[in-house]
Amino acid sequence: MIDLSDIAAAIRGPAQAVAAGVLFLGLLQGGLYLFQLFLAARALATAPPPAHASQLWRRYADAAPPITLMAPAYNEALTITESVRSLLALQYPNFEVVVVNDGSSDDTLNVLIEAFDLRPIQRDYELAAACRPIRGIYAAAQQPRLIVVDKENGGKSDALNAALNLARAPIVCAMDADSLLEPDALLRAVRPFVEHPDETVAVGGTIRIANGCSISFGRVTRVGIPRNPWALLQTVEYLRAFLMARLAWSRVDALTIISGAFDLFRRQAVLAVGGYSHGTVGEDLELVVKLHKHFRRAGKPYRIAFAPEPVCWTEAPESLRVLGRQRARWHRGALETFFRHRDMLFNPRYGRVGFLAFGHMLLVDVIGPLAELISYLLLPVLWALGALSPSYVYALLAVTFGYGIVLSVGALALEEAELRRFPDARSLLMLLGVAVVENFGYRQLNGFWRLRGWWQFLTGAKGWGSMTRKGFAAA
Amino acid sequence: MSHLDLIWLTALVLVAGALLWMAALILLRLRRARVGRRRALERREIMDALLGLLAGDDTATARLAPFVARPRLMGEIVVEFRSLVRGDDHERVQHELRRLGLPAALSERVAKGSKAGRLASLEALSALGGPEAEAVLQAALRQADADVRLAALKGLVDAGATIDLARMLDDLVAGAFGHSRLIAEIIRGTAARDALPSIAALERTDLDGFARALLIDGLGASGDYRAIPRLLEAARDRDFEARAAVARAAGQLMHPALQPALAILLEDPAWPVRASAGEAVGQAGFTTLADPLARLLEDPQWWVRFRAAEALCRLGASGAAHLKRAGMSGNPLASHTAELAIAEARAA
Repeated sequence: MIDLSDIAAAIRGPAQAVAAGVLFLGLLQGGLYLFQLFLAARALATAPPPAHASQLWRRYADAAPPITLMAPAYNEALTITESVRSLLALQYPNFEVVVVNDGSSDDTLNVLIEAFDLRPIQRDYELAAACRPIRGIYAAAQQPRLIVVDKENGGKSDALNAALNLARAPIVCAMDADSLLEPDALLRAVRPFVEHPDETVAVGGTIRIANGCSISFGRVTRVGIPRNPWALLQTVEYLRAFLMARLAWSRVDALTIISGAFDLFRRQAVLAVGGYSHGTVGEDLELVVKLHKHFRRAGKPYRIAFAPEPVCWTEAPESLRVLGRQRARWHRGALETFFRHRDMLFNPRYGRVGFLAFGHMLLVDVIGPLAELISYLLLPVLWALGALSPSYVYALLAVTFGYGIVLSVGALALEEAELRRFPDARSLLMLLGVAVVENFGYRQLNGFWRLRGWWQFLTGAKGWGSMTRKGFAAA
Repeated sequence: MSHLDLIWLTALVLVAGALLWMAALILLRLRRARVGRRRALERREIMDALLGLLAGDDTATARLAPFVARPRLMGEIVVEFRSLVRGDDHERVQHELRRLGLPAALSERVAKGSKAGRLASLEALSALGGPEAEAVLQAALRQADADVRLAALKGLVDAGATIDLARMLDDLVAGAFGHSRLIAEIIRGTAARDALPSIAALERTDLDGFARALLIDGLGASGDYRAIPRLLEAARDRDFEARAAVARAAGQLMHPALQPALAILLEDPAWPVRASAGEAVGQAGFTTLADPLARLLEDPQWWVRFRAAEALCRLGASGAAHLKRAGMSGNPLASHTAELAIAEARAA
């Protein structure tokens, strides 16, 4: 007869040890976030003062290098005309727009042909980055800045590689065709390329959520906060991700994540690493990691910077199902990149990128969700074994929630110090409320989605899943 | 205090801290909104007074006077206003603002306060012009902050003032501005306005390839043929950036004496130099170099082939004949490039 009390005694020790390990990892993560907040605040305090668009034009227009905007489009027939019109109206002295129709199954190409009076043209280009065959290149009769490429479907990386091949400017800007850039975003984002042209290889801007904003002719005309609760929760989350994490890692030259919705690269640098990689859903992260690797190995000085001022507006998912799919995909992308470049982890050859950025990925993206899962599994076990004191559990939970609120409020404080895009104190008050609420449920839900991402990674899931968008007209 | 109490206390401190922070953010936002509203009102008043000056309103100067004590605000508006008016109107506004003592107020602001304010004041001084403003801009060149020095330099260029090229190059050699494209534009512009100091500066041995390339670019833009002997020497520069700049300058100057240099640069080991030389041949219309230019259609570098094909298109009948021949040649690189260049030129 098996004595249950013996089993309990036998597993009690190991279970407690695992629980202590999970607690330690939690503390380590918390410490890392606090470090990020501190670094981000320092970065803002020492950043050049923000300037008005007209001041920027006076200061930088003469020295601004030409830019090719690369906008991949897949089944965007509903919104593509408005998006392209807003791109063509950007305030920047010298730029061209390369829209890539990535084998859309809807009417995207015909809509573009009709809206911009496109004609087929011949254009010389070098097949420097691998991409699926290009079926045709079109130019607009009245819009010399616009080039439309029609190619076989190959995914976002493939479409970006096609645009990269066609680009003739030294700087390329990758973006989503359905995102909206603020009119002066390019002028603001190009600043590091103007001030440090030799070293700067990539610059990322801030991504903000457009849900709840008023949009007219492809422009955000009034900033508002989303009415949809999921979009509202993501607003605070985006602030934390961009104004805290990216700013912090950029400050210590360990930035690995630049959002694919809006980023600028030196074209030659991207081509030197073979362009965007296929077979990953985190092509933006992968590219930045490849750039770090290339320049560190070559021993060349380089900079990958984050500029908080240029803003790109994007539509956030408003349903739990789509949001969960998106987050799982993001996490899968992070894991794919981490394991593809695992040789960089704690490798002195890659300096801070190997220790700080990859160490952070290991802790937060690789171990984090697993530790969270273990803690959820252990909780009832320890409870049943009588090894858990409810008073301690409640107290530790209170610390965790308090800490989470401090971090979110910190991100809002950074927003208030730098961007101040939210129109009034009422919006701010609402977001502060969200900063509190998100700790109770939403954060845990995120943990679950990240576990799903882990599962997809382990089972070798491919593809993006469908991203249902309402379109900006309805935002 | 027990461990448990300590954990609870930590939680309470965190939550209380977060709440206090939130309250402070809200209060600050309310204050900022009030200040913003007041500033918008003041901006409107200043704008109205400036427009009043143009309309001959006798009270306009008196309405502007109190705002001289707010140099940054005035400075920002003056710069904006300057872009809207020209000729006599512009002179009249400048005269009145100088009479009100705005340059002196801006001068004080340049010396102290936030960097954003100092930069805005320098821009306003440049917009105002005049000896007093120029003196302040020259003095700002001695400030420790590189951004302020750069703004002062740009201000002097915009105001049409003379800049000491040698000193600017000293700063560049000392690494004060890095290889910023802003300083690059200023040096190019200065060299383009007056070629002789740049010709002399090219003899300096402490300049790196970047600095020499800027001076050479400036000489190309100057249109001054006195630069040709120096450019012929620089065509053998050890740095490829400087040699590429010589090619660009030759394209701008279009002087036949530079053809031998371009012929050498078309065969340079560095591909950016070959690409620039190819482009320059087309720009200058040197048909005598069509043969070596056509050979670049077989270059392993795409940019070199592309620039060569583009240049051949610009060379008229002679270039077109070369492109046609290349199109029918057995070399796949050359024929592909030539065919597409002809097609692009037809569509343009």
